[in-house]
Amino acid sequence: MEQHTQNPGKSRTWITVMFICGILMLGVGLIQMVRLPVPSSGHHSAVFISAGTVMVILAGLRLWKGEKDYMQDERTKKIGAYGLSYSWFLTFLVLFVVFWANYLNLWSPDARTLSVLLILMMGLSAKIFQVYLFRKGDVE
Amino acid sequence: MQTRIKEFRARRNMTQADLADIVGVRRETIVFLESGRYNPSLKLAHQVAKALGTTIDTLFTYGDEGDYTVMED
Repeated sequence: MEQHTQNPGKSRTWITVMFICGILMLGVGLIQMVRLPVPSSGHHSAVFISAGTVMVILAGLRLWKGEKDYMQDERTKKIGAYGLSYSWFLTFLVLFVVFWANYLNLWSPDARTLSVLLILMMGLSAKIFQVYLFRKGDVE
Repeated sequence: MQTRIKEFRARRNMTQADLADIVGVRRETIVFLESGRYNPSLKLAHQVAKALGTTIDTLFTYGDEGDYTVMED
């Protein structure tokens, strides 16, 4: 019978690839910023640098802390999935509220505001639900 | 749910980390299993029982045990 965990070697390979991609993106961003004239390099270099930094930090932490802390088993997968589904449902409710607020002219956010709200809410609420369920031990 | 994992583990001089390694789960999962806060899948329950040299029904007991009625044809 197979074990419950992911193959650690495979996972480590992906994290290493992510780390290298992050360094490359960071490098490209820095080179663009230094070498290209300011108007043409502005947006692209900022995007490369910020995305590269995030990737390097996330992948670097995982590589540094080791696989044990990030090993997945049936409990962590279950909690991860429930956290995401609770987050999805919360986002659905928020969208419902935003729709009616907009319809009744109480609040009319523009596309950018709404996008930022949804991105932050989906990411943060999923993490909060997962941390809560991890501390609880199970989803029931 | 109550478990006798701790008892069987002690009999075999096994740490939580040892059992977690054998079964292939995180140590925290064994902690939550022992405290009865996590309901394992049948597959995990079988693997834990096998690792401890016992059976699932010896290892895991539910509060309402004995309430079940066996239906016969």
